[in-house]
Amino acid sequence: MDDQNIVALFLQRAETAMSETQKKYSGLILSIIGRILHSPEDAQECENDTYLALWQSIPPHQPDNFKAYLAAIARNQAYHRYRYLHAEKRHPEAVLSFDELAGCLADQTDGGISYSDDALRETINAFLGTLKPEPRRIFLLRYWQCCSIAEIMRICGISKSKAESSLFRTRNQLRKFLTERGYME
Amino acid sequence: MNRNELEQMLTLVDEKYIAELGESEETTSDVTVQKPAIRRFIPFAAAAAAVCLCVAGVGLAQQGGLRTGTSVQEPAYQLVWDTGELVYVDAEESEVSHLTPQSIDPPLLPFDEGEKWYTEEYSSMFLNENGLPVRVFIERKNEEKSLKITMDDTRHPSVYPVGKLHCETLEAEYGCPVILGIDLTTNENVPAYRFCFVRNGTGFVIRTSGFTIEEAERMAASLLNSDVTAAGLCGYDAPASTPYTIVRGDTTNVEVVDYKFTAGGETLTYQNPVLPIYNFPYASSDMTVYLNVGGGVSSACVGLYEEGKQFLCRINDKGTLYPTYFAEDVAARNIAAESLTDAVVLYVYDASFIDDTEHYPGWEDKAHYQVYCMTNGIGYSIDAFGCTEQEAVDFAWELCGVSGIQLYADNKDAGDDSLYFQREESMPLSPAFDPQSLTSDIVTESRFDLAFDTVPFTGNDCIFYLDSTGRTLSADMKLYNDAGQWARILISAVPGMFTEGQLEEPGSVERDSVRLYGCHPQENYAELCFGIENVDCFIQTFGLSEKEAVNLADNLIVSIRYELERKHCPFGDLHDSRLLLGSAAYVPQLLQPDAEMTRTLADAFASVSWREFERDGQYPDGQCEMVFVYNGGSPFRLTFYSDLTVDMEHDGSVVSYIIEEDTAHRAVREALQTDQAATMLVDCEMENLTPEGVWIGRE
Repeated sequence: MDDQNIVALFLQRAETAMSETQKKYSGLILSIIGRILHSPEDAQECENDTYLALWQSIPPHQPDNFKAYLAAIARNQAYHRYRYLHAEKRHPEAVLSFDELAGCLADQTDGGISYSDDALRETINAFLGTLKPEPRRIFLLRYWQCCSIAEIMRICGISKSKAESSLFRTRNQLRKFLTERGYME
Repeated sequence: MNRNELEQMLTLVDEKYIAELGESEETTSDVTVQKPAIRRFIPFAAAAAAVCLCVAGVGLAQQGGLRTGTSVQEPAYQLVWDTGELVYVDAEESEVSHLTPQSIDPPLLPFDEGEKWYTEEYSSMFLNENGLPVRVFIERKNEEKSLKITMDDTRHPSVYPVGKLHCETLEAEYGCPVILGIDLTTNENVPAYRFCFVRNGTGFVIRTSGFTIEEAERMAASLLNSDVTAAGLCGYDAPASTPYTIVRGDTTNVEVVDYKFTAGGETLTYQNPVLPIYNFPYASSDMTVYLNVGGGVSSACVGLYEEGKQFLCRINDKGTLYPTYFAEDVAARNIAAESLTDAVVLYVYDASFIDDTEHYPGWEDKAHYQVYCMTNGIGYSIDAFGCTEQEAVDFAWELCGVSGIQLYADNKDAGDDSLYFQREESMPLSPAFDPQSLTSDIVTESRFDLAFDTVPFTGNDCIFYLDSTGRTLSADMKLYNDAGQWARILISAVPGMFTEGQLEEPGSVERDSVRLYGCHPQENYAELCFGIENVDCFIQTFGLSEKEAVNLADNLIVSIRYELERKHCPFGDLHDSRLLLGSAAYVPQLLQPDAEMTRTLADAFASVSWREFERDGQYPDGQCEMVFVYNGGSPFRLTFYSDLTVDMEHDGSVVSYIIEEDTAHRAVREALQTDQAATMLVDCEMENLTPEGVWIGRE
C-alpha cells in the first residue's frame, strides 16, 4: 500500500492503518531502534510505542513524507526509551557516536540559558541546509541514525578515511555555526 | 550548549533531511547521484523562426500530417512527418574534421531493458579542441535490425542544420517537443526511419532499420524525455544543481557608476572559445582575459552570442561587481558573506531603464537584465540581452557553477579550517627533498588514505619513510589518472622543511596557512605549500585548475590534521614487550603469549585510535580481558571491556580510553582462545592479580 493511502487510513481512524504500517515499515523501524536499543525486548516495546505515537499524531498532523515522519518518531522514541531505561549504563554505538559529537561541541556546564525547541529546530535545520548532500547524509547517518563508520562506508560507498574526515569537517563547521549563533563561546 | 540540548536538537531534524537517509535503506552499493535539473531553453527569436516556418509548411502537408505520441514518460510530444524535400545532413557526412573521435564504453540508454537484441555495438565520442565531448555516436545492430544514434551538444550549424532548426521552430509552433520524422523505407520488409529532434541544446538523430514504426518511435521518445546528453554519456555532467536565491533589485534610486578593469598586465583575446556551458546554445563567443603583472588571471570578459540574444559576463576576483550601477545597494548586501555557503545569491535587475545606446548600440530596444552574484570570492556580472528574466537567471546560475572559468581568489577567511591564499608574483624553484637523509627504513604502504573529492585520481605511487619507531617521517606521493592530471605531494615531519629556509625566509609563512606560489592557467600547473603543527607539505599539480589544486590541499590538510589529532597507542610499541593475558576462564592462571602472539597484539593496539574519556565509574556488563605489560619494570595493566573501552592502570592511577573499532579487543580475545593455551598458562596467586603483582618472581 502506498504511503498516501496509509496516511488516509490514519485520518479515517481505521485500525488497519497500524497493520499496514507495520507490514511495510516494521523492518525500517526496528533497524533504526535497534541501533540505539540493543535489547530485542526493549526494541519491540519501542516499536509498539512508535505505532501508538503515530496513531496519536495523525491527525492532526498530515506528513508529506510518511516514511521520514515515521523514521523521526521511531528514532525519538528509541532515544527517550534509551535515556529512561539505560541512564546508568552505556551501549557502545549510540554512546560512541554521540560522545564523539558532544566531545567536540557540548560543554559540561549548564549555561543557565534554556533554548526553546523552536530555536533548536531552526538552528539544526539551518545548519543542515548549509551542508552539501553527501556530508549532510554522512553526518545524519552517524549522529541521528547512530550508524557505525563501517555502516556509513557501506551505505555511502566511501572509504573509512573519507567518512571520518567528512565527519571531522562537519563537526568543526557545526561548532563554528553554533559559536556564531551564540550557543557556544 | 550542553549535552542534553545537543541531544534535543538532534531530535528536531527536519523530515526532508531524514527523507534523504531513507535512500540508505534501499541503497546497498553506490551512492545515488542526483542528476542536475536541465533547464529548458526557449526557442529562438522570431527572425530565425520565420525562415523555417516556410519550410515547415511544406512538411505539414504530407503523410497523414501530425501524430501525437504519449511517449513512455511525460510530457507529450508531436511526431511530425517530413516530405523528405528538406536537406538533412547525415551526421557522418557533416564536418567533423575539427573533432577528434575516441571510442568509449557502450553507454546505457534509457530504453535499454531486458535482453540485448544486438550482437554488435560501436560507440564513439568526438571531442572539441578544448577536450570536451560534444558528440556521441552509437551504432547497434544484428543481422536484421540496426540502430544509429547521434547526439550533438554543440549546436554546430554544420551538423544536420536544417533538421535542427526545423525542430525548434515546430516546437515553438506547437508548444511542445517535436520529433521530426522521415520514412526512408525502400524495401517494405525492412522498414527504415529517421527521427530528429532537439532537446535542451542537444541535437538527436536516430536512424532505425528493421524496427517497426512503434518501436522506433518509442526509442526516440524515450531519449526525448530523458536527460541524456552527449557530454553526460561521457561522464561530463552539467554542473550540479545548486540552490540559489533570487533577490530582485530596487531600481528607484540608481546611481550609474563607471567601471574600470585594474589588471596592469597583458590582455589576451580569444575568438570563439568553446565554453563548458551546456544548457545555453550560442553561435559564437569571445573572451578577453586580463592578466596581472605576475602573469596570473585577474579578470575576464566573456561574450556569448546567439541571434537576437547575447550574454556578456564579467568575472573577477576583486570582490567587486561591475558595472556598479547600483553601487550602494550592492555593497550593502554583504555578498561575500552569503557566498560562503553553497547557496548562490543572484541579484537580478531589470536594466531596461539604462540607455544602452552608447555601450551596446543595436541592443537598446531589446530586453536587458543584469544579474550579479558572487561565489567563492569570484564576482560575476552578467548583462543579458534579448531574453527573459528567467533565462538570464538560469544562465547566471550555470555560469557560477562552471569550473572551467576560474580565477585567483583573495579570500581571507577566519576560523580553524580556513585557508589563506596569497598570490605570488614569481615562481620559486622546487625544494630539494631528500627524505633518505631523515630515515632509517623505507616502506611503501599507504598510511594516508586520502579522499580527494573533486579530482578522481585512479593511480598512486606512495613512498612513506619511517623512523626506527615506525612513525612516518616523510612521504613522497604521486597521484595520477588517465586524463593526464597528476599531483606530487611531499610531506615532511620536519617543520619548516618547505615553508622556511628553502623557499621562504624563516617565520615568513604562518603555520596553518596555504601559500600558493603560482598557478598558470594556460599551462595548468600549480605549486602550493603549507605547514600544520609539525608537518610541512609541498604540492605540485598539473592539469588541475587552481580551485582543484587548492581543494586537494584542503583535503590533505584535513587528513593530516585528523591523523595528528588521533591518539595513537598511548603506551608505545609493545612488539618487544613481555605480556601476560588474563581472563575469567583461566583465573587464577594467566596466559603467557609467545613472540608471534605478542607482535600480533602490538600491531592491533597500534592500529586503532585511542581516545581518552571520563568513565564516571560506570562499567558495562559482560566479561573483560586483561593484558599485563611488564614495561621494563614499570608495569601497567590494560583491561578490555565489552563496550570497546579500555582502562589503563599504572602506578595506582587509571585512565580510560574509547577505541572506535574492535580490532584490539578481538586480538586479545583471539589470543586468549588460542589452541595452544594449555601450554602457555602460568600460575598466579589470586592476591597477585594486580598490575605489579603478576610479575613477582618473573622479573
